Amino acid sequence: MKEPTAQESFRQGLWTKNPVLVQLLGMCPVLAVSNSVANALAMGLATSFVLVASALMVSWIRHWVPPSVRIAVFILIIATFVSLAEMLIQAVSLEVHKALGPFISLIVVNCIILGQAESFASKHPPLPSVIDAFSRGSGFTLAILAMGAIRELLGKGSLLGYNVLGEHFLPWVVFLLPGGGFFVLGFLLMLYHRYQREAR
Amino acid sequence: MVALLVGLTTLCGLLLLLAHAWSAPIIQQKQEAALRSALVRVLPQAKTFATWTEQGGQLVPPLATGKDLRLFEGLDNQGQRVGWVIEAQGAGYQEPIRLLFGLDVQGQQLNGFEVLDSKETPGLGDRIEKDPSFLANFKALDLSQPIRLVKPGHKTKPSQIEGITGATVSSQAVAHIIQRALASRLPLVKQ
Repeated sequence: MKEPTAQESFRQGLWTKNPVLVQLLGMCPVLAVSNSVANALAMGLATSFVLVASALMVSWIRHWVPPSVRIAVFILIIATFVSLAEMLIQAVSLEVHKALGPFISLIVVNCIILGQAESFASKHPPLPSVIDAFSRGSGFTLAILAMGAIRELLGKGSLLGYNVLGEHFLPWVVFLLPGGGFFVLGFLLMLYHRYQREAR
Repeated sequence: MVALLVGLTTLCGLLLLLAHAWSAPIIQQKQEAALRSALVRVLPQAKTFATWTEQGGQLVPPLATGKDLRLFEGLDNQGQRVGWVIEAQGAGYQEPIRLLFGLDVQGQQLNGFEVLDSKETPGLGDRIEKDPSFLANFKALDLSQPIRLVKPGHKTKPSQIEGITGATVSSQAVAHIIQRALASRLPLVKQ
């Protein structure tokens, strides 16, 4: 099978096939933990770590995995790395671990990761798989960071905890609540697709 | 196929085992440090804390594995008791709230408060953790009379807790948790 170049992978992962903005995968963490920049960044990095590590493993063993048990094998690998990521996050910062709550464990069922293992890593050699996984992870991180920045800015008037809009700004609390998440996501999707249509 | 599955599961298990062995002590250390700094914020006069739990109306040392709510006896450098910190838990708006509050030696005044764990609504209910005028309630709360929650701006007695506009349920929850904990803990403290 022909391997895509690194440049192609990045273009697709970050923009033309962005997992969040185009494929609409991984909506659960995108909506749930994008209420601040710090949470969004931690979730983006954790997901990218799991994505890259499991892509490498899946790609290494791709010739020995019988098709009938491949999903079970992928899930086993993904779950292992998610547990590793959870312990790592908790050891580094209890605060971040508390803020992300159950959503770290839920990375296991993030469709971006299983989708990448199934459609790419299980059919390509390790290096292109890792590059592809990394670019998809970056695309996910980029999208969730954009959500986090907009929601924190409008909902708290701050970015990364630093107050940027001043004391007189009255926060739109709704942007921190689930409803605001849907609203911002819809708005981002609209902007993205409008831009894409006009660029064409 | 069987060999692959067995090998892979063993490898994953080993990886997790190693990671757990490495991270468990660090995580426990961090949790203890976080608890200690919360205790010091609630009862700044204390230099060390003795940990107790309640069993059949008596103070007993907690079991290592115990999940019981704890009482922390604050001691100064001479080992003199300077106050108590009570751990309490109860229902919040959607998820449980776990908090600490500090009492003076005689159990007559509540003079420290800190939320340990809560998932109250961001921007509304979570103000029980940071709102300065709400937290001011717990700087000197009189316990000689039963404590009551009142509407914002209606506090007239030192035994009243002034709620937060927009966080009615969460401030009620805090008041209930403290009332319940006081009912069971005050007799122990006064012994």
